[in-house]
Amino acid sequence: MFKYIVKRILQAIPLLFIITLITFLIINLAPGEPIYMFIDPESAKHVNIEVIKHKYGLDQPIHIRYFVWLKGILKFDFGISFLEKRPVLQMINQRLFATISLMLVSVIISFLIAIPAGIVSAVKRNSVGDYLFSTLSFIGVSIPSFWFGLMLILLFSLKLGWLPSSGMRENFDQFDFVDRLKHIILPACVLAFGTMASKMRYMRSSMLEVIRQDYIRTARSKGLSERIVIWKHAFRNALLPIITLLGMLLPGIFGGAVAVETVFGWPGMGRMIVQSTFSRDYPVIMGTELFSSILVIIGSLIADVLYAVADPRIKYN
Amino acid sequence: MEKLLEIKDLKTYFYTEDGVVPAVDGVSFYVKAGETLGVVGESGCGKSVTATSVLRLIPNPPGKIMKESQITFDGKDILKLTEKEMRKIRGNEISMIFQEPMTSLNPVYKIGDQISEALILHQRMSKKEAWEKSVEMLRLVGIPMPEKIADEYPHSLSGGMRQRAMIAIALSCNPKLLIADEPTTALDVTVQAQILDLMNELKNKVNASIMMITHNLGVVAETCDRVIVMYAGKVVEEGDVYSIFEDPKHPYTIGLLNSIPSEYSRGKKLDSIKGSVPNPLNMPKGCRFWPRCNKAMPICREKEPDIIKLGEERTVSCFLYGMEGDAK
Repeated sequence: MFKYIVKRILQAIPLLFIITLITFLIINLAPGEPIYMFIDPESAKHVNIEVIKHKYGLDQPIHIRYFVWLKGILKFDFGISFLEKRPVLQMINQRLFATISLMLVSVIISFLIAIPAGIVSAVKRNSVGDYLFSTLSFIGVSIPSFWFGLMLILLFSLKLGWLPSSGMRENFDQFDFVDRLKHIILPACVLAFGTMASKMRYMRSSMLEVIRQDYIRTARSKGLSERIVIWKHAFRNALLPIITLLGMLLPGIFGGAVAVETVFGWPGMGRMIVQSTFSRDYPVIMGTELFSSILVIIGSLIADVLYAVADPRIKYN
Repeated sequence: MEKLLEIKDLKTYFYTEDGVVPAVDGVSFYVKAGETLGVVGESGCGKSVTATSVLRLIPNPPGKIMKESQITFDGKDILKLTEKEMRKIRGNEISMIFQEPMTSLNPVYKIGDQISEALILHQRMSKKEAWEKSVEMLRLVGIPMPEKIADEYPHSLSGGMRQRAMIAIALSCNPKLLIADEPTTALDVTVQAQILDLMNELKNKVNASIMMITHNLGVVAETCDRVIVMYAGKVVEEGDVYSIFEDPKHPYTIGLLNSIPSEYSRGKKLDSIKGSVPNPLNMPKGCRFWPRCNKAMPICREKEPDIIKLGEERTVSCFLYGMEGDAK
């Protein structure tokens, strides 16, 4: 197992290299240049622009700039943000925790709801509950998360006044769990709602597949109660494909986090990605891209390891 | 010998979108204490449905055991028990072995845990006691290094070993009746005989009755005391194993026996019963076998034959017998 993990990490290195190369090319192909963010296009003279370009190294050809950036990365130097004039690593460091906690809470919420709902739908197939969950999951995939987020803010923050509409905390002096919880609940639910649907459907079909298996009949023929047959014998088998799904869903959750963080003013990396993309802040774009890729790779590695833990038939060599 | 299990007029119907499938349609038979009863017939004749009906494991919907059916086991009316009372019988007093050892064990739990489960449930053993008993059961069914195998997952066992483990599960609580649904069909020929020997041997050891469901007449000859022959959801002939093999009465039984190779058929083309099992949604009127029967008479198309008693424990359901003058 340890060997397998090491192998996977080594495999991730060329993958990350390719991701950064493609990202670098794409953002440079996009129209607009970062320097137009900090000069007044009306009054600027040609000479000034060249001076500023030189200052940021933007007068170099693209391949040289890529290698300069890559050299920096190898020394853990992510460069300095054009816009904020601060080291990118410091900026990411401040926001990474917010994003990871939002993603983690939303993944937990979506699994806690999707898995039992999927099982109930499968076991009580074609019942009222099954139709209700199916309808909810179709609504879930159909509603854009930014709109759903705004509606929740409208209801819970403006009309009812139960929950704050934005930010991560109000108590800045110490770690206040209730305060944090109040802030995270709406964005996490919005983020969870979109991904819950597919998980619920996967769980339902996986469970339907499992309850037809011979070993379920064996379990029943032993005299076990229906509760044990479903929640012990069927559940663990039905869960296996869902674990793989976890790894595949992570990029989607990350993408969803960008919109949700923007709507809820969540101080995470998602908002930073949006801001830096609009202002063509190359070092920040590259840094956040690299970090989110690493997160996704770690996530799928965790999913693979969990898979081996849950299924005794899987052995990694 | 007393009757351990008695089935009267069992009707198990499946309500599908295409119509009602009478998989088992008025089957009556019994199993005596300590005997092995063979239930023989082609695929789709209702053998397995009969067996699953006894344990009340018919998926409902679409399956339903009809009201007039009666199953009496050890003095208890099985069809009137609550689900909770029924669970006390399953795996404890009646247990079952299935056809597919490769898929009948749960892939994510250890063999020892899967045997222990029934022991903890029915015999109120502690986890440790149950594990020790599981190892003992594995040893009893002839698995080498039972301590080690108990700790293994099903995927590391061969088909024959898995079927032995299934037998260990089935016999762990000393059931009075063991239902074996084609226990050797999916196994290699060399392993088949071993499993049958094992079942015979253990049956005497734990003093259980066996209901042996099979389409293999060789298995019947080797293991059974009495036989019932089923065709299209009905019992067509019943008798002790010698009478069935020596003096089969029903044209279907005769056809079945003629289609096994024997000394006499050496060098000749093997007989077969022409045609195939009728579509259960569209059963022929009258006797269900007449379209394939080489002795069919006009009356066979009109009326269903009654069950005719030919002697002690010997019945047949055919118009060739029991009529005035006995047309044999």
